[in-house]
Amino acid sequence: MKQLAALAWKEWHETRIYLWIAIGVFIGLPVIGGFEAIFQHISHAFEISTTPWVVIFGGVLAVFVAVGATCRDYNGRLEDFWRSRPVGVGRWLLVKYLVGLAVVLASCILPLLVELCFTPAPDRDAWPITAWFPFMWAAAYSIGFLAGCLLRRTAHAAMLALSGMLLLWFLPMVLPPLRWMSVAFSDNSDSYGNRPRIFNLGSVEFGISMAVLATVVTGLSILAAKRNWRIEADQKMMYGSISVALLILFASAAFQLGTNLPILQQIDLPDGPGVTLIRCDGQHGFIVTDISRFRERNEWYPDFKLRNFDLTPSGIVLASTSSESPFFPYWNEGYYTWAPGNPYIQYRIETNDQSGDGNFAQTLYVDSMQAGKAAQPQTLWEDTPKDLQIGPISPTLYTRQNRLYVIGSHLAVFDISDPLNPKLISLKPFNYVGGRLYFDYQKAVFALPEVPDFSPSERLEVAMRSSYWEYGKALEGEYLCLEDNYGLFAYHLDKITDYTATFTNIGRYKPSILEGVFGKANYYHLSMENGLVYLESYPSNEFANPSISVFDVHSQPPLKMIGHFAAPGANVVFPLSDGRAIVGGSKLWLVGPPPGWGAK
Amino acid sequence: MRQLIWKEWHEQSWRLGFGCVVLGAMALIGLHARLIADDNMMLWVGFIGITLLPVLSSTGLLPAERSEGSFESLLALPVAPWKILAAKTAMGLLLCVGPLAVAAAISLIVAGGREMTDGDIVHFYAASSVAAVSLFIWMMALTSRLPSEGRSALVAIGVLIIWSIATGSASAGGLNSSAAPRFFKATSPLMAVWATDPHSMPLIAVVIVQAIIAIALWTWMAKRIVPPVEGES
Repeated sequence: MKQLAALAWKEWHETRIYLWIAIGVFIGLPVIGGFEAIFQHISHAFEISTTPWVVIFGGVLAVFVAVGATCRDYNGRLEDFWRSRPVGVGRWLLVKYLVGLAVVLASCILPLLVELCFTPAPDRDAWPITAWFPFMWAAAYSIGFLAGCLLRRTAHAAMLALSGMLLLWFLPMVLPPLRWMSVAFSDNSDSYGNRPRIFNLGSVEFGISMAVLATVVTGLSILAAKRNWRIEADQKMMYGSISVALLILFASAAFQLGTNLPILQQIDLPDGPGVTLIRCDGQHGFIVTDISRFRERNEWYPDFKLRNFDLTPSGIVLASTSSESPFFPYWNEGYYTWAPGNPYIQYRIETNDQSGDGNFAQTLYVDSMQAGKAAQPQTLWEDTPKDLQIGPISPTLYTRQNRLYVIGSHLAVFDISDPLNPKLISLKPFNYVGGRLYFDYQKAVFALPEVPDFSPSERLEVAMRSSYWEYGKALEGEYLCLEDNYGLFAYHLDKITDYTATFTNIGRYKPSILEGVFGKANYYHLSMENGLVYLESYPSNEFANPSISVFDVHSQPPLKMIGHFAAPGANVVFPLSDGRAIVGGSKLWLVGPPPGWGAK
Repeated sequence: MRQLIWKEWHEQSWRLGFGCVVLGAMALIGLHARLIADDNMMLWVGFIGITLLPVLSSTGLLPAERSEGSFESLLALPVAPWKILAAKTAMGLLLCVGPLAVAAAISLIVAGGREMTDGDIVHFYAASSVAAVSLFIWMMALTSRLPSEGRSALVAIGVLIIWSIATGSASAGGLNSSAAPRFFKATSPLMAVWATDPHSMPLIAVVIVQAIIAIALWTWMAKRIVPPVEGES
């Protein structure tokens, strides 16, 4: 015991310098930052923000301490000296390991406790980090320890261990099968925007995986020391190991975010790049192109072109001519609908305060999107809701068989047997103000419009179309998908009556940090077909491509990302019933179903 | 001469393989994933090639031999010093051009005609190769007498930074305008990449000027490498 105490004292004597340095960096610099914030009037209260420092540099400190501890005594004749002492290599190394680990943990945890104790509003993740990051630091420290035992050259071991730490940190973030080992604590939120919970399944999985990794790697280190395993580190190995680590990360990111939907056909756009709308009934369809999207910002002015196409067994055949688009194709979902069985006829509502007295006149138009048959929009009906505000009262359009329903302050029913010439057959006050009744991410309840003769599922469709949701939403059968800043959410219909429909959350997809880097967090439109959810996203930075992500709502767990497609401008998708999809951007692409989807 | 080249190949082939694997894998993964536009992806590959390859090759040829103490033995052989230098230069050129050629071939296979024409891709990688080779000659000339790889790497990185700042500053100040000193356009090794801009100088003009500078630098370097005098310690 006395022997081990002496060894521990020796290790502490040699390692404590790291503790003082860490306290200087992790506490000293935030304290200076706190004073600076007060003097510069950035903050009124004195705050010590140590969390970012510890999270970013804690792993680096762990590697340096471990490599320093091992290489210091595994250097030339010192190694022979230690091997000649009357103490086993395993015990000696274990003391070295434990003292170093204690220094690392103290260096990282103390600053976090300082923030938690002395800062009025500490970082929202400070408690979970204090509870679970020590396991990650222990794993990084163990990797550094093993690298030191094997290489015995400080610079080489440090570089190799830092590569290993990068993999430990980022690989679980980019490789979905390893996500349970991810250091990202964002999934700890019990509800969205609230303080993360310290204990939950994800945190425990992370802690256990890091503890197991640290134990295994430490065992390997002791084994390597006992059997005198050694790797001769030369330039080839250093270059190779670092580049392999970086390539693994790069490839993992590409595997997660890159294109895997097979391109069946790629078509140049005769009217120029910039598809903004695609519609197809499986055989015929059209695209609307806005070539201003690819102009310089200061040259932006809308320039819409409409071009029809046929979808044949050999692919898409574009019509030889195009025409001006009869309407501005950026509309909220509820304000327009399409004639059943006809991909070209569209009905839409426009709301205008023409008189300027706050009364909004609502006008129904019908458009033909067939080239050569593009008639002028027709004003069919006007409704002027008195004392009602625009927004939730804006009517919702819905078509069923040969009927068009305008559901809002009034219920208007049109006969659309002749789709281009709707005939009003009934009009009565209705006063439907939108479908959402209750919503808290775990549960969503919708109030259904009491439209006569409508089944509950048809009422639900109307409610969904009319409900206001800032981001994308899609309903298919009993499945509802919503997306917002917190990710993509899937719900299953639990209960439906004539008046309400209740959905329960069954899954969530949270974009990874890497997706945020490539701008995929900026989602803005959703569509569903065959249980596949197509999510369109546009990057916030200029170097990344827009993309389409495909999720399976029936997967276990639901909302597993199974497909992705990225290309210049590619952020408009129209899913087809056979699993293929038409994607528009700088070109038009016909893409196949996600790999493995057909087999299912 | 063949034996000298074989020696260099034997010692440096792993660097060539390393460069080919890194740039080729980057081009393959990046262009296949399409996370960023093809021209941006190739720009990244070219940027890494231009910054990494000249430093890697210039420090691994003469300074590495000097730090290992084998360069004096090499000069003591009955062969003219310029031939030794020529063999090393040839290997250095291969180290700079080879990985970029591999990346170009992969780019053509994966993304040829997709967003950029084949001609544009070839032109871009040719310009990147010219830039890498020009930087390599500068770095090799300025590090040829340094005794260690570490020190020569610092000098090589310094050369890279100085040319980057000089070219970037001049470009920001209107390098393509008539007011800018025209001779500078062609003397900067990095101008080869700028030459991919159709409004800039034609690539062939840049290549000619760079070749003249490279020959001058190489001649200067060759004169500074002399065999040890007998009896000198």
